Amino acid sequence: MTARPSAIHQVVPTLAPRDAIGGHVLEARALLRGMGVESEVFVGEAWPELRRECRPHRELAGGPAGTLLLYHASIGSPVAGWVQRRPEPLVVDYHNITPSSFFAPWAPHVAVELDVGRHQLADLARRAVFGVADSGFNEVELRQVGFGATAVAPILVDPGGFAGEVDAGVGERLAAERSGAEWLFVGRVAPNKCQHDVVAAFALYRRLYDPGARLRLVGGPSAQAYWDAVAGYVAALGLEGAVELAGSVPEGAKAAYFANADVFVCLSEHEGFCVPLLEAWWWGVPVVAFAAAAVPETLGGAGVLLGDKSPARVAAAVDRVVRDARVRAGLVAAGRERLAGEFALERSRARFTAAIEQAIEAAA
Amino acid sequence: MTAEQDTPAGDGEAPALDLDRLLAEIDEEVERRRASGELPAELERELDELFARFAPSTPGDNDLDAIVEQVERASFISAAVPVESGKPGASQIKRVLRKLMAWYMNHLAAQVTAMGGATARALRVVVARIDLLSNRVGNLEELVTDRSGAGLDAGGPAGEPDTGDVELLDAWADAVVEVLTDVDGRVLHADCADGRLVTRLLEVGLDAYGVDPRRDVVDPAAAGGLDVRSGTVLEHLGAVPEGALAAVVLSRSVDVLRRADQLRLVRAAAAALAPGGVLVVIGTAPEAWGRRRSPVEADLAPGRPLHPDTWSHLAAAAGFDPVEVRRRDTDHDLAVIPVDSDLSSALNANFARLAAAVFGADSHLVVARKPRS
Repeated sequence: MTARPSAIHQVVPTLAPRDAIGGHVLEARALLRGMGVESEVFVGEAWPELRRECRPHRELAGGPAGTLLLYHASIGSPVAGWVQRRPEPLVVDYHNITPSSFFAPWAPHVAVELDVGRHQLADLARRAVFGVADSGFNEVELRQVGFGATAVAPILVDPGGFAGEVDAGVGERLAAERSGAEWLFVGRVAPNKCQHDVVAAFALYRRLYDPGARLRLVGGPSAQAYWDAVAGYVAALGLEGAVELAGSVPEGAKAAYFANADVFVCLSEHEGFCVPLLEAWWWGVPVVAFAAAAVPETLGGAGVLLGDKSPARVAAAVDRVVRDARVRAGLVAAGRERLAGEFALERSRARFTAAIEQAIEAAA
Repeated sequence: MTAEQDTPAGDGEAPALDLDRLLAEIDEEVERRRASGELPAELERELDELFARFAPSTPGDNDLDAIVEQVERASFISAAVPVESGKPGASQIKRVLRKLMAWYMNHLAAQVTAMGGATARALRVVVARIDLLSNRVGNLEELVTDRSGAGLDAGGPAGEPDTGDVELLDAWADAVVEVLTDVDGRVLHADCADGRLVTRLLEVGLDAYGVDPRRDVVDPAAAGGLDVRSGTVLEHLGAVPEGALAAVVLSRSVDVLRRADQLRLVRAAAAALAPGGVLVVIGTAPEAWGRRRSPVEADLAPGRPLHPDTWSHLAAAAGFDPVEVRRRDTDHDLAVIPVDSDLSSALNANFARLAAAVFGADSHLVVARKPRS
């Protein structure tokens, strides 16, 4: 018979609002408590609005026997080293670490952090009793760095949470500016997300299909040099009036961008899961995406998946999605079906709970 | 027939989509625009090149001077922390903090800047030594590949691929088509020359495109509507996402690349291929090297062709399994003596042995498959 732990505490380097991992951690805490174990969130740092939800990691005392630690890995952090030295059995929940090669030319300091994160993950593999991954793609990486026992459980996202109130002011502005198809991508402006490829495809689209189209890139910079390059590229193409680099926006404004969009275009080359795809489905926005990393797995047929992101191919795909009402309706329906099926919160909760049960068994 | 399946959508129910058909229709649309001239091949290249102006130098750019300049620029550390803020009063607080911390930050910044400057100077010395070495070795590769230079290539006028190149592609085209018949996905041919093999592959329904470093050969083919791009195969494979290709066909440059680059090429192809993908190498037999290429190109090329067994070994080491080799016998048979006698039979048999020993197979096809799991 398996000895159940009395506590499963989560440890996360940073707890941030409006962040997929932050939301996952809080949702996981509720689930763990629902399983009848004590569960707190310990952090390296927390944003002010979430400080009441967590405690500094150094306050985690030597727990009673039967305590399990669940560490969330997504970046290099001193907290990983601290966890490594703890006596409790360790489970790692892996949300993916972007390969440093994407950042090295743009933000070498970020690349170093990412490299450190990957080294730490390999170190944690030697000590962890179990690994949980958001996607099959992430699970393969866990196996590659030495995790023996693993399971896949999608990130815990409540699609109902996407239904925030639309910022009317932003919505009105977007409606007033509309002069053609509205492209949207939501995600931090980062080299691995390749916003410059979206801009290139958009430039060609305006030239070949719709001179009045607009592109909205929502998300703050992960590397300022890359942001500057994308902005410079937009200017060099003469698209300042047609491409909006919106930066990080509040939830209401983000909702307005989704509500206004005709198509969500993701040409990212590295995603461990890609939550914005789920948001696009929720808002009934059809998706055109490049087949890289975990994107095909998350998309699962509920979008146009391109094996090649040449600007011409992307532009043609978007044109088809925007212009062909039946294709559009089919994609929107497929997205909503996937959101209500594969990624329904109840289903994700069940898979996460099952993964934790496996972890408990591995720790016993 | 379009991407919607035949079942009608009723009562507001959305139609089920045949995504494969939709993708095929999107591809057809792109090809149609390329063929009509609405989508010039250079347009997409220009978009790439324009963004490259904003991208920082990377080791892949092979521009050491630019990289060192970047290090020099980055080595200056400013202690003047930005104080702008969107929050009321925050800017003033930051300004005060900056003033209070100035003695500390200036001290640190001076040391870090000194370290950065020393590092940049050390890099300058290394670059100077590399330049010296390069000059001593001589840039043979440029001599061989520069068609506009001293006429070192074996082929005809600029804009046409060399004759040995074309003959080899034509000789192996049927075999390549046969090998790739069941491939599902994008097929890359490098070096694609004038795109003749790409055209053959397109004709049998494969999604093929090409890459070749000789812009004067590629541009006319691209202008004709073929998806062929200028660039080296190593650069191109380095930019292709992992697992994005269903097949990679390598020719020409596999014979002349430096040894280290030939090894890199196999690994890069392995990374670019999806599970189940096929690597095909069309190579010149080392014994035929001087015969197939102009003597000047053969002598000055930075590398030499590899034996098919060596390609097999490299492919197996990169994880390919199985690996198959096909050889093409030469047609350089020696003339036979037509008289039917024991003596003529003996002499003809010896001529045949002699021809095999002197000429042997002149080229080979190595077919390596990446395991599905």
